[in-house]
Amino acid sequence: MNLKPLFATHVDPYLPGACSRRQVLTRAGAGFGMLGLRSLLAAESPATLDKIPISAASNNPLAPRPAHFPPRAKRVIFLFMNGGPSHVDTFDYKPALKEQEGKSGPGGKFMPSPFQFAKYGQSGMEISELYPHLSRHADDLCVIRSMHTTTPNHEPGLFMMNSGSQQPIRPSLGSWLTYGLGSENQNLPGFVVLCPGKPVVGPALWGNSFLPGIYQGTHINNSKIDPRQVIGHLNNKHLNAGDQRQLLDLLQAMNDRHLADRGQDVELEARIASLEMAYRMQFEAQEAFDVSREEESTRTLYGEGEFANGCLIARRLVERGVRMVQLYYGAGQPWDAHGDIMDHKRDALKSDQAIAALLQDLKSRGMLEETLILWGGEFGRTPAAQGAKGRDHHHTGFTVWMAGGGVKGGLTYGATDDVGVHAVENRMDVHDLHATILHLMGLDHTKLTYRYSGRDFRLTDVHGTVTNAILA
Amino acid sequence: MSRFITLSVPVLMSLIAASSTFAAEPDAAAIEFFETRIRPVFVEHCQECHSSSAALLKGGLRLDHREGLLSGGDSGPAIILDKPETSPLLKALKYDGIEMPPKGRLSAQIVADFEQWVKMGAPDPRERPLISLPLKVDFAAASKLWSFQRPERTSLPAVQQSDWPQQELDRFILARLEQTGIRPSPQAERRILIRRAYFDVIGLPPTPEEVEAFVNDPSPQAYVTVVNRLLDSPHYGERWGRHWLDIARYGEDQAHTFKARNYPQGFRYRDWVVESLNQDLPYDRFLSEQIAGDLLGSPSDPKRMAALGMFALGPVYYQDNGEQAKALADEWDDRIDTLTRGVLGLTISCARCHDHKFDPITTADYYALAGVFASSDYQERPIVAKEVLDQKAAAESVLKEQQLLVDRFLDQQARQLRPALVTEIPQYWTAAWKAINHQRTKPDDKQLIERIAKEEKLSELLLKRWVDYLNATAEVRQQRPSLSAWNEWVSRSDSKQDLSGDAAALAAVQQIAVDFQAHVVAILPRREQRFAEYGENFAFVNEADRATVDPGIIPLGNLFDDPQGGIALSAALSTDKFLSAANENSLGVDRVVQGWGKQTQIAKGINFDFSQLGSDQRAHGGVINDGWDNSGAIRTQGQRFAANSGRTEQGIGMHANALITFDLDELRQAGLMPADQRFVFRVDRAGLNDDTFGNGDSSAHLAVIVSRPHRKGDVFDGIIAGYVNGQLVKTVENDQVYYFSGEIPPLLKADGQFVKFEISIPAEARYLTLVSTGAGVGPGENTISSDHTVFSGARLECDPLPEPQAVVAATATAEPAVDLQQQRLEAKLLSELFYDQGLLALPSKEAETKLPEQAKQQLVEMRGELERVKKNFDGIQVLMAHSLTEGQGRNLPIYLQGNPTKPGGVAPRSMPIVFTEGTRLPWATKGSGRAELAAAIASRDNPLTARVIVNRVWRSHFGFGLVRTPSNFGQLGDRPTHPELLDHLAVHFMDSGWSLKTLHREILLSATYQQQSDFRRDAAEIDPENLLLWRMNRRRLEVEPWRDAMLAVTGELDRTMGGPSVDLAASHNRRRTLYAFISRHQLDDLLRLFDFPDPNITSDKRSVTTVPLQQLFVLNSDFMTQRAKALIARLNATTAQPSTAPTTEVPTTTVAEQIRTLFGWTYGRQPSEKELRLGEAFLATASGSPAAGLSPWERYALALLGTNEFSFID
Repeated sequence: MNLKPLFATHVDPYLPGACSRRQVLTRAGAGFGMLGLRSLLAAESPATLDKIPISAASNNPLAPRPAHFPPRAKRVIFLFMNGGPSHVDTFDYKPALKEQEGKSGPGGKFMPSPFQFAKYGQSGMEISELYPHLSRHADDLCVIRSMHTTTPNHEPGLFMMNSGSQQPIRPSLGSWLTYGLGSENQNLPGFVVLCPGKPVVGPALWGNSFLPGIYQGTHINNSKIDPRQVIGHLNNKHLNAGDQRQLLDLLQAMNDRHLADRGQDVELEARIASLEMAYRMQFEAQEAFDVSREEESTRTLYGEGEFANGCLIARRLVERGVRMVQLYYGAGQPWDAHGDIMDHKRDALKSDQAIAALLQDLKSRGMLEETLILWGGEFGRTPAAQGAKGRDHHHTGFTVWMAGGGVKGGLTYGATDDVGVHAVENRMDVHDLHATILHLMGLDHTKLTYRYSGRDFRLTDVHGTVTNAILA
Repeated sequence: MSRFITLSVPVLMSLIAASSTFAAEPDAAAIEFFETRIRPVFVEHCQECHSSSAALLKGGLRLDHREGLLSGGDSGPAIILDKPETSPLLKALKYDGIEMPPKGRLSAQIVADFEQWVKMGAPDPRERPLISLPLKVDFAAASKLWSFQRPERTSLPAVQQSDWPQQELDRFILARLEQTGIRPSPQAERRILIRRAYFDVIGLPPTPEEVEAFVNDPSPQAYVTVVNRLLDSPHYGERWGRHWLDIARYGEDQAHTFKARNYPQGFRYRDWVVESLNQDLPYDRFLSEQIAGDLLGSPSDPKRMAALGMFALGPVYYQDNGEQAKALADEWDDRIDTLTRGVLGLTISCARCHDHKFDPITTADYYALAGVFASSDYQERPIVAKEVLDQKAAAESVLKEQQLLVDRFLDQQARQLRPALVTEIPQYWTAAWKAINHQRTKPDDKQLIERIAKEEKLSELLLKRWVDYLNATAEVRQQRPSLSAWNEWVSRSDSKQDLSGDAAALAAVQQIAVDFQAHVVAILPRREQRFAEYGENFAFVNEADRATVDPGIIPLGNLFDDPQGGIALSAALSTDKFLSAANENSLGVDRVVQGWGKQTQIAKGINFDFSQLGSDQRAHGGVINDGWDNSGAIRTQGQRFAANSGRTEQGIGMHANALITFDLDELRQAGLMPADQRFVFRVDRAGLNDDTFGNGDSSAHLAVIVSRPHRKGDVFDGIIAGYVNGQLVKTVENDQVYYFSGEIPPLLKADGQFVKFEISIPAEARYLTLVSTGAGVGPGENTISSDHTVFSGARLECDPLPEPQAVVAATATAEPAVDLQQQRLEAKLLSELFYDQGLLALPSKEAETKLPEQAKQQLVEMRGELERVKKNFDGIQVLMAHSLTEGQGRNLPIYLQGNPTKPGGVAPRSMPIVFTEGTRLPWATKGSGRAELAAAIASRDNPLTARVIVNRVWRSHFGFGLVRTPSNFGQLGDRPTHPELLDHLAVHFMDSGWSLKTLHREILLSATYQQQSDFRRDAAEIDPENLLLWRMNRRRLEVEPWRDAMLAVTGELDRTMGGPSVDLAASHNRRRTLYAFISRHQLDDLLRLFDFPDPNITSDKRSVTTVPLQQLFVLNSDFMTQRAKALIARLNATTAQPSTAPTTEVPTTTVAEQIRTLFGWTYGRQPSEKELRLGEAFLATASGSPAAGLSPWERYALALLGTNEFSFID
């Protein structure tokens, strides 16, 4: 037997799609390619090759699952302004702060916003000058001014916003979503977290806690521009695609033989299928993270910088069926403007254009309707000054906004008091927000449960009410 | 109190019956009224929160059926038919007391409709929805659950195939199989069996030699021998310890990072677990020590303290922002959950907010346990004998002493160096000038000074001082006549332009600097000379003082006087300014503390505990001047005692519990004290001059403390010396607080007797602290009884003091040209240059390179000695563990709805009453209750403890437990598949002295365990889940044995046991995975990827996920690549060995042989012919290795390591 041609397969690893298993198999061709090699051993078993994907798919915890009811949104992009953006300097205009300037407020003396506000869109939504691009999309935004949370400290605040508990003992929002709905792309993680570096707390914010590990967020450092480096071990440093395929075929041949000897075994089959998926993921995931494949005009639209890149990657990912993308504005807690609220200018400048571009891009692709965009941080900032020019953490009233995915555009919902201290009208806490997000995704927050430690756990614990008023 | 949710089932049933009768004969008009006026309102406004389908039922109240209205919710019925107007429903609608619906009041019409409807008898046709209601569990019924009954041994079941069972347990398995008509599977072949046993018991693969030996062992005892060897292996503890650590949610840090408590010694607990298992510590004891190791036996073995890590290493949550109570409650919950699910298989945490809905566990039971943890304190304690601790302490003080010697020597040398640095004045000056110039054009350049210092090879610190000095405001600079040339230059030059490139400007500045230097050089010898002669008199306070103060003396009392501002002392004392920092009006005073607790800050960063001197927590006292009308020194005027009557003391008068600290550097900087001069602090008369408020038994301790800033952050050498009542007393430091130790001199009483202080003040002293404490009769019993203590004549004197005659003579004969003002300015300039923060006071660290040879040599010797004592210190191992200790025993209240702000009745610490036959038996303990808890759990009387662990052991051998919910043996848990077997094993386990190894042996030697794992369609059709164990379950290796096996087959595994955890991701890490650092905050990527449980919560089983990200690790990770390379390196090393066969017959090692060797290592078997062919084909055709790539052999190795066969155990 002449074995030489068996492994003569060389493929350009960076040619998009060049290396799907099917194609490699085809290329091997001539009756005695890779398939032939595998059949060398597989012949001993009843053709496991064909049935692998089927049995493995049934065992796949990330397979797409139906929602409880027809969803308004199919995916979420959570733009997380970590550090806590000031509501009274962005989306919650408080002219009364001018009158109250210098008077004692909670934690200091009231300080009016140094930023000008104006009305935008048909809705006449008030937005500060920090967001010149975004304000053009005022009629897409659903601004919630009546948020409140439990603690004005970063770590508990971050945990609360991400998992509904201020202790690190609950699964994150994205974990719940992928647990509830699976993912629509098996070659990419279902829940991707983009952050250049790590926010405060770090991985626990996208942790799965007691949910199976598959539902944890996959952190991607979007300051790295090499798409081959973004997912752990995505790139083989030693073998080109052809050599790797050859190795994998050897491995799978042995796996086939092993399975054949043992008869039916779902787990063995699942791992065989999973190896194939991994092989494909190497190329598809790289492609997904490679913004250089975008049209020049699109890249210009988003602008430059890590956050702009992150927004563009987020769009590419949801486009490919990733269930949730959470994009942190930066490492650490950049929005934490204790010393000088003018620092917000820097952060808004770096994000305004990209967020606006994201909205526009999704809209032009017809995706905005089914993509829920959420903007916010772990809390807001004090309407009173800290020091001369800064603002402290503030949790009794702050703002988040949503867009797309079944929320009413051009709506300003809820209100804080005259000076922005307390949420007073249509108050919404974090559980309500979570309940509403799940609702938009077609999930009943009281029914999305996981049995653990003797009881059914929920993202919203025993709380949360869907805010129907903001639904489109 | 009648609450709906407390109704028992029978009562409810009767209620349903009653409501049904009503509904059976509804009045049509009434129903019409209900349907049109009432039902829509309920639906629209009420049922979101008050119905059986409510997301969250509020207040336990259901308004979607009549009986819900009648029986009501947590606060009683909603409708009272006898007295309709008192119905809470109506009151709520009227916003009377309760306000419903919360979103807004309903219209008056609707409210009226409701009133009418209730008066009608609330006709309501709605049936109770068929949804189970959260009933209070029927205790008696619930406690009849199988798991609450003590396990009993039953007779062994009869079986037909009597030659199959090898252990008693097999009869239970076989009997069920025979009943079902399934035959057990044949015994696995030996190669498979040994591999299974190895991974199961020690988590490592057998070597090919071990496999062959077993396969070829003809003895009927062959398998028993293998099992015994494995159970005796120390690797057994490593494998099974990890199973336990999953339950104990072992972690070495916290999920959060903000003020997080970490556990660097956490591994002591891990090692204790491993060692205990290896010693087969009886399981009851194993548990007791983890719950109450500190309370068992007497004296307790220090090693045992590590066992308490099970609870001491738990998560600790945020305690900020008034969330402390909640955080503490969360922590107790973690402990309870870990204990009760982990050890008892009960979900007691459910009872934190409400009684358990299915099991007989109440909130009282929960808080009875929470009280135990609330009464236990976290403590880090040594786990070595006391002698070792003593040795360590002694070595530490030697080390600290030597460290201080070195630091002080350097300090002293650096001081001596200062005058020599006068030569560098021009360099500093011009460099500072450059920096000042650059700053004009680049004000944001923060690295400027650092860069210039580096370029010019100058001290960055000194350069900064020069910049500040030369760049001070014009006003400040004008006060320095020696800067007159500079000032003039500055005023002439363009202050906006960067002139540093201008050669002429540079030359001019250099000239100014050189002139300044010449001036310093000129006055320096005079200072040095006079200094050498008799010390200099810098003690000018003001002109008036000069007449009365002897030369060389600085009267401290007078420092308070304000020569310019006219602020009376009383006014100065009452201002914040005076208390917080020294300023011109309080020259030299660093702080005045009027009344302080036992521990107070005497100077920046130096905390002192005055308990021994009898201070109490009360605030009183102050530095006084009761000669109110006399401006001038702080004085105290004797009023009450004859001996002192009318005597005004010149000095510092102090009330009880007052403290004053002088900053000597400030005096130096002001030109009052030469920088490097030794002084003597003298007090002629210290004691109680007066007692205006006391009772005649007044007494006090007067203390003086000399200190300086800490030389290094971690060396506590701030205190130079401390004196009490005139005598030197030892001061020691503990946990960064100083205190007097040893014998304290007798109290000073108001008896006319006084003491003297004569205290040497070295040049490095920075602070001088005077203290007066009201001493009372003994430590801790202070009374305010010592008004008007006095440090009379408190002063600093130059050492040596100039001969008064000489000075007088000098003054008498001196040329009148010696202008006092001039003298003072010179002194001030010299101080500015040479005092501790002076322009030429090079810090000791930087001075080192400039020291004279001899000093350098001495330093080397001293450091050598330091190294030696440090080695000695390091050599004494004081092992510490994170542990628990008894706190204040207390019973907790029940937190209503789990809310710490809503305390209910008290729950005395006790076992949940289901363990005590329904009666609460509170523990009579002054301690935490942990000892009692341990006894109640590690007990034959406990129906769960043995069953739960037996089931876990079973699970770890078979992949599934006899109860498939290993941490839930309650109502909602699975029932055992083989209840009699579980009981049989549990009883047998206890009978064997709770020996885990005996249990393992029983299982491992069973026929059940030795079955093949192959799939059998006949059996699978009847029992697809293999509940009856007709075969062995195939299992995927957990991440630990998988990774360990990889290192083992490549010959790289480092089998070192125990010790500090290591970073798993480190490329050189070849330790077993057990020794990886386990982070709650950021779990290692490999562990995370391969289903390692979240160490924040107790884990009952590993999930088994199969995802592409795992396979990416297999295909692409450095770890796998390295193993593949190592495997081939091992192969090459083996085959390169000279053969023992006769040289003539040495065959070239064939590819086939090498493949066989690899198969032996990785799978413990030989390859089949086809596998051989496959390997050969691959190796023959794989393309040649690129430089940085993997050779064909290495690729082959990677494939072998990546297979299912390597990852799964049959």
